[in-house]
Amino acid sequence: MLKIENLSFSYNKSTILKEINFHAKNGELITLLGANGSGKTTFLKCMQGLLSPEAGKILIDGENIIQLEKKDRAQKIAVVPQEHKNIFAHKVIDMVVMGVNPWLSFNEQPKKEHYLRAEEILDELNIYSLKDKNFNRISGGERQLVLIARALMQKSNILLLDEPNSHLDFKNMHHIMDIMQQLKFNNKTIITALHDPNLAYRYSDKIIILKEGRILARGAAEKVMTEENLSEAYNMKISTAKTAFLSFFPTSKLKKDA
Amino acid sequence: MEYDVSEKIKVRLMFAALFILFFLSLFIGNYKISLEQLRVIFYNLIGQSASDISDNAAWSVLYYIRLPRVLTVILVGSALSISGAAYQNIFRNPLVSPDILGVSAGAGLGVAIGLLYTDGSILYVYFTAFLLGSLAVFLTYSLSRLADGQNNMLMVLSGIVIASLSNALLSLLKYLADPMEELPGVVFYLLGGFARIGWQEFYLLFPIIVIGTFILLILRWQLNLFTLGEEEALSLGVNTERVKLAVIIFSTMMVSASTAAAGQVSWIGLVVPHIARFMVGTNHKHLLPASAFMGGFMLLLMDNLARSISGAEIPISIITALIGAPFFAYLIISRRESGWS
Repeated sequence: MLKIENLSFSYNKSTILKEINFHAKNGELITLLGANGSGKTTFLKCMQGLLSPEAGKILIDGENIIQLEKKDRAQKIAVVPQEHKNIFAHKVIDMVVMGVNPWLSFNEQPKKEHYLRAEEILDELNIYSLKDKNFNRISGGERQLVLIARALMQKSNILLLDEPNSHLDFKNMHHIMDIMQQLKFNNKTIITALHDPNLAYRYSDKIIILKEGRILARGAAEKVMTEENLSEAYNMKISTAKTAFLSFFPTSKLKKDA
Repeated sequence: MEYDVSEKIKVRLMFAALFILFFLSLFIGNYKISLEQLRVIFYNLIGQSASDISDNAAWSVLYYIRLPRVLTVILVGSALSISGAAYQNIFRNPLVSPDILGVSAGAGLGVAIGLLYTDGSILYVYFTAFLLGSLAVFLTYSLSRLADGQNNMLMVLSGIVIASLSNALLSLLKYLADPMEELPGVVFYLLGGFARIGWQEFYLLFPIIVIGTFILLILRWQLNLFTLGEEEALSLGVNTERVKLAVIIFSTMMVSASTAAAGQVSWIGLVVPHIARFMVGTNHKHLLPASAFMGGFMLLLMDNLARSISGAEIPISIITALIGAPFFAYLIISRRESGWS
């Protein structure tokens, strides 16, 4: 159970986040929506411990993680960054094994069992064949999956994803959302920032709409994603339509080997 | 099931190549050592001969001149390469080398101060080189923290500032030095070379390089995580500031000591890590030893050239640059499609 209490953050005297409050149960997929600069990324960075909030608490099962050691926090929260190339690339299997780091003591190296576990995870995500490939030479969608595999290796209950779809094509975009749903069913709490309200609506249990660092609305997608809220959040007139336009979405689960 | 068999084999092959070159290098030089002389030395060493080994000229050449020199070359080559690999990774920049934080320039300035303003004994030169090398890194680090603690590019830029400053001061010292008595000494010292190396220099260098290498090897797993960038490493629970500081301190130690011993040896610390990465990949478990063995091998090869191409010795930094620069150009062109992996 994750609980955010009165979280505020400011930088150079300008407020970026103001009194953020919400809670999440295990097995919930929560999406942060909001215009660029609304505070989504800052919020996720506070959760990761990259930024120290000015005030407030981030409680996981009652424990305030702001004060935790880096490894202890990493045991509780895993981060899936946007897919990117590294300057010096590792093999895919080595990338995934890195997720075990929070569970290793200093100067402990990953062991065979960790490599076996990493293989299992690659297999579960259906990318076992990438195992020995160079991380820089696989496709963007594949890289995003490898980063998810690494987060799973981390065994933490909470996963943070900052716009995981932003570089991906249509198929991979839905594939990643699909995987996030599966993880949710495995009782993980997923918190993700998304750009596309349509994707958010389709896949999320809860939506949090941010505007200028404050929560504009939060709750179930059907309740929160109204024309008023979205128009307010993005500062433009937004209408919802059920039938007026064609919309495209996958009608079946994506094939695993797709 | 093993995941890194081929890398392990390659690292062992590199060690074997270094080992073979080490033996061959003992027999390169103006004084030719014959098999017969070797046989005599061998019998002397195992105590089967009546004659005194200290009377043996071949033994003197081998033991007092070539052995400390060859061992020191290996130490310096390894130290520069292994710290180069660590630096490149910490700053996630393929163009970073031990020179970049101002270490080499600072240590070079220290060498000049040691030669000009103390009695010029080796201990003073080492001490001033180390002091000024560390001071340069400290200034670089502080300058980049003042600007923006998170940005590694600023650290590299700060390094360039401090290096320029050190080089300007070095030029000033050279300008002020007595052109007949003092200047040649400073210039030739910094051009680099191993001709003056004896056991004393080796013993001074040895513990520093061993400790530095040992610490970097301990950090090999953390260095792997650093490849992802500091934010990602942090999210995986790495104490990034501490790792960065440890790498900078111990690499600086090794590079200043190497500069004190051999002058400013350029290019090795930049090029060798790339060759090593090309051969064994980015996993520092293999990359660090591969860089060390390869660095020792390359510098030894170049030092052999330096002392055998012509009658007089050619300063080592001329050779490393003549070979290193075109080789680096080749690397840039051939790797343009795949990045630095």
